[in-house]
Amino acid sequence: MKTIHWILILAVILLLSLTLLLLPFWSPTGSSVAQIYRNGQLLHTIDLSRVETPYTLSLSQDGQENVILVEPDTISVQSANCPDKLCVHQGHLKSSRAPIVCLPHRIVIQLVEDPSDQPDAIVQ
Amino acid sequence: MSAKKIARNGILIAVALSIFVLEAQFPPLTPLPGIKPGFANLVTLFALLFLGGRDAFWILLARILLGTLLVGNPTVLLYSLSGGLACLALEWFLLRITQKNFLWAVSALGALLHNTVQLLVAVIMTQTPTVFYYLPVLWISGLLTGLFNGLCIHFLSLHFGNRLRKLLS
Repeated sequence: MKTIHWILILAVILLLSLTLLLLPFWSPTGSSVAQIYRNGQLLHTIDLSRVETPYTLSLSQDGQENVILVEPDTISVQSANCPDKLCVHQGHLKSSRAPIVCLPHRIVIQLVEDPSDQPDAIVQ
Repeated sequence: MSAKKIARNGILIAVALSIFVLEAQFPPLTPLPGIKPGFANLVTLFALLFLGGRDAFWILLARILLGTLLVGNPTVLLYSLSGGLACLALEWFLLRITQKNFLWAVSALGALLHNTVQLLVAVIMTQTPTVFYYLPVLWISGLLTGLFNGLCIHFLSLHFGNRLRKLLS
């Protein structure tokens, strides 16, 4: 193996990553249905386009708490008692290809890819 | 194990731990979990290049276990262990089949595997395949940090390699 081979391998990986990274910006999500999972189990399904007044949703289990802020057309984590608070810093959910993740509490908030698969009802 | 070897590995573990604990004090660079420079891996790379796979393995294991104890977040242990050991195994293998002056590429590929394995663990832990969407970000960060760390040890070995080997033998 020569230097050029190594550089080529790494460059291909970099280009591939960049392409995949920019994909969410090209493809609009088109969906306003957010799903909240804990441990892979669906806890809530919320149609964000039907939210009129902002409200908060508290997810707590075994002393692990995440407060989710549901606003018209957007959802975010307002506060959490996990050590790194990364889920709070991830901000508002924008794309179905970039879910909000709280690893310590195993919570994932994502937009549904295809809205037609989902019920219209707001389940709490 | 000779006294010299114990002292040498002890010092390296202490250096790796210091870097690890210091790095944990800084606020995260990005809101995404799993993105950090990983400078503690400099010591693992150094050990792998100058001392061999066996010593690198024990130094890495000691650093991860003690580091998790010090920085204190048990959920991190699984990520650190799986990512770190997979990365070391790949780097050890790649260094055997190529020349040592490609350490930078070996380190970059190791970092890529490290982040991939950690993401796999995250997908299993959260049981949500959507988390895989973070793979490209983690690959880019792994590529950059892996390259940087690899180049650091590469230049160290280039300029001080002979003196260090004499010192460590």
